[in-house]
Amino acid sequence: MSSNELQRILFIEDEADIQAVAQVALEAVGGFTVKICSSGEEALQAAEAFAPQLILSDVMMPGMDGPMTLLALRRLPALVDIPAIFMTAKVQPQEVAQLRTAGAMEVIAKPFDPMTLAQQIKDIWRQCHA
Amino acid sequence: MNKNTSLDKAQQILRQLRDSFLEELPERCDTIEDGILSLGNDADDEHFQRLYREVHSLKGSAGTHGIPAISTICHQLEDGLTTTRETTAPERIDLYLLYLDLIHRCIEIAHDKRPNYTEIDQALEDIRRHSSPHLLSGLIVENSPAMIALYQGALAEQPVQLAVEQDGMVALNRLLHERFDLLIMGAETRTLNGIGVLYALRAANGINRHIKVILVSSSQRQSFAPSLEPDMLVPRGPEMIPNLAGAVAEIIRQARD
Repeated sequence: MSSNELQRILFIEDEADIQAVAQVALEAVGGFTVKICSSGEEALQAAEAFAPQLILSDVMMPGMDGPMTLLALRRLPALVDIPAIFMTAKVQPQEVAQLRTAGAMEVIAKPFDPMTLAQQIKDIWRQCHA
Repeated sequence: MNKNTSLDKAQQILRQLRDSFLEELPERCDTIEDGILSLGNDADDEHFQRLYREVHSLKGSAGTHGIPAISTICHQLEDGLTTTRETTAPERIDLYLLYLDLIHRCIEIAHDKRPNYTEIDQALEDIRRHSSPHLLSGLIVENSPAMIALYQGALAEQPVQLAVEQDGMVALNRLLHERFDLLIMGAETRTLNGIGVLYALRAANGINRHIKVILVSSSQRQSFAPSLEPDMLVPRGPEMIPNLAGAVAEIIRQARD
């Protein structure tokens, strides 16, 4: 595996249904190693030990939302430069622009197709590292 | 395990997750029903927010499990909950319960060998017509917030309930799943421009294939493929607002006839 190959994804999502489908999409279909967190707070606890290469986060969550969580994660020395992708049902251009300003390199629309999500993430990763 | 076996296994797990979702769905509907019925008992804002979150969560889950019909129902229920603050009125509660009936019907359809949700689209349309004081339902697709405000201002007095999308692909997806009577389309929209949306709408065998389309364009003259042209072309400029209002008024007149 090259050091640039994406393997470890920190996935933050509060909905159990979506967690389950995404886990299949990312692990079984994509072959990634995934750490699932149900809240921003949980992600902050787990992030450094997991050492993700990519943060994949829902936007609307109770408590800390996606952008707040990313802001907090970026304060951790090990996660300062870790790229992030947001997943949201609101993919209006203004909202996407706001999420990019909040630090996302890309925004993926919900609902996602579980059979193509991993490829979508690989494509984004490749573009990011081209 | 080779790649194909692994994908087959993933699909099998996804099917199992979907089955579990359907199995648990009546219980989730019961929770939502309790929430709706309690709206009549001086429910506080926290109760309302809890109900809204339940509906919103179900919308996301259904979409993720590949049942967009339930997502569409939840979307309309969400709209009803957020846009009508007199949520405790008995007729509003009856309306919300109609949406729940439709979700129960979706569960039945989902168990069919070849699920066909066409009747749900029609039922949603019937609910909308009976619950809305507006004669027609329209979708504005326009990139510029300033232009959107102009369109809305021009049509404020018309009996048209207007939804708005700024992104062409998002609008197209909505047009393929949600019934409208009228599309007002700016030519320059992101991801998919107005002509692209129009062509896809006319070419797809969807519920809105034959709706009236008004294209607002900075170009005075445009050529369109046969049978794919908009019903009306409104050029941007000083006469745009009166022309747009006139075009919509004509569509309303035809609908009344």
